[in-house]
Amino acid sequence: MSIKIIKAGVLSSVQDGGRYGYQHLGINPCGAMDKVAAAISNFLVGNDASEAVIESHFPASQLFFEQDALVALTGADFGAMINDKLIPINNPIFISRNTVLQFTKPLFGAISYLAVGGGFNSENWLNSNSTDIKILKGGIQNILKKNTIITFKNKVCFIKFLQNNDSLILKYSVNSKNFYTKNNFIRFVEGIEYDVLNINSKHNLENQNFSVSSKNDRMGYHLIGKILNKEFELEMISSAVTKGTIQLLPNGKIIVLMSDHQTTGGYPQIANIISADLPKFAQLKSGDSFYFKKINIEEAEELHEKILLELKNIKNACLLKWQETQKSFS
Amino acid sequence: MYKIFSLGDSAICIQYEQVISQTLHANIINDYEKLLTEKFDFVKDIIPAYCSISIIYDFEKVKFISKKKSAFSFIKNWVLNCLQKTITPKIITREIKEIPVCYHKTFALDTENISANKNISIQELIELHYSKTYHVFMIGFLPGFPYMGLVDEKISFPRLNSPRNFLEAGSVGIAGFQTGIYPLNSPGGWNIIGKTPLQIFNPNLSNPCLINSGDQIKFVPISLSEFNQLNQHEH
Repeated sequence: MSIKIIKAGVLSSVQDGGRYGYQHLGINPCGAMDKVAAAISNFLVGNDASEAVIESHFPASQLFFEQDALVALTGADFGAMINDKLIPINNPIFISRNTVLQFTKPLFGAISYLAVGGGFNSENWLNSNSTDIKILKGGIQNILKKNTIITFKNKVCFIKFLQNNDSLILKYSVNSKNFYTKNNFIRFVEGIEYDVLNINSKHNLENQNFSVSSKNDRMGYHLIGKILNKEFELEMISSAVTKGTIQLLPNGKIIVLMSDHQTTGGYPQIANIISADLPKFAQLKSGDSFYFKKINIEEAEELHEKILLELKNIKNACLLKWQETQKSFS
Repeated sequence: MYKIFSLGDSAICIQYEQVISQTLHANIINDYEKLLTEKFDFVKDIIPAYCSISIIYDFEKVKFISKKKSAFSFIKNWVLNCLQKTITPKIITREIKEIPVCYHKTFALDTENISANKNISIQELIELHYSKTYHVFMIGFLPGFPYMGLVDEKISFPRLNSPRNFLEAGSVGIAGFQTGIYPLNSPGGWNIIGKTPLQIFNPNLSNPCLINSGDQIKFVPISLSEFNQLNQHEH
């Protein structure tokens, strides 16, 4: 009842909704970079939103299924193949034991999620199964390496669905386009030190193209764009930062903090990316470009609510479809 | 006095006067404990720092209560209400935690440099460091890393221009007027003057950090042989 890693990816780890309640001790929240994709992969296989999933960057790990499983891939499309057949993302799929899942090319996005029905067994450390890849706790206490074995919580046999096939793609899927490709904007609200930027730089923040540099990982994404200048020098005293915080570095470049961010920071916090656009931002690859757009907190909250409502609808629809599927096979 | 800012749509920051002061920080810790007492399940994290307290909240849970009202103004009001409460001004007499430090030259990578630049003897530098009780202003940077202060002006010294790629867990350093302890092996830019044999961060304990924000810390000088006896670090 497990999967075995037969080829390691560049950065694959077990993540869930994140480790909260310990940031006052300097323990960072970790958690899925794209929480919408992680939640959808879980809904598609009948799990709760915060069940731990496998998060992969490209090149992703090659997995061998030693056991039947119901799985769903979401977020990035890495051209996943089961044995020699391409399989779609955002779609529940039965996979037979003794099959290989591999990822062939990055077609869309930066980070892929794999959920399995019932969930994976992994270590719960300080109320979260997210892997802290710095201190090697939580999840499977490390990134996925060759020969790592991850067991499933449920032992299942899907022979009645699969018969002699190595996989079966169920006839329903989630359309996640709204979360990612509606427009080219990443929206933000003003940060505490927004006014440290001079008028020109405030203008440039919104009216120039930024792109994600090759320096991007689970801690943060460095951005490439015109240098931003300060209106005045500010003596900074460190305070807490959060996922989506945009910091202005001394050289005028900016960095956006992501899931593995340090808990505190001493650079001016010029803006915060809104929650509704964090999944879209997380899925940008190095070289991808976009525009920032400033909105106010009320608009940010409205958009956040909309996302939560959409996720709720997806969850309910998935539940309904799963019940229909079970009926049709019984 | 303080101002309240949003930190995006799921966090809020209470910002106090931007100074490093033990009196101000004692008030901040007092406010922090008020917030902890009143804590609801929409609160995910409360993070006190030098002159701020940040609260990370669960937007969905807040909206469930605040209904039509914005989550930000709901949380802001909640904070204002909490902080106005004068109840239980429980004077927290925190005991002084003693942390043994070996200042032997094996560990003291930067003592000579500080001593030469600040024109004081190595012995005086060490004595100035352990003779004072320090206040913990913040835990951050790494799990369990305490930002303590303030060190005597005679031994205050700016960070290294380029951080070292590797420092051992337990290394005790100085950066400006602050002193700190590296809880893990890590890159780092602080001036290292000694090492504690204690494990500052142990992920296998239910309470993994030895030092908390608001604690009082006193360093106790130990010899190299005492260090070896007490050493809790992995070899």
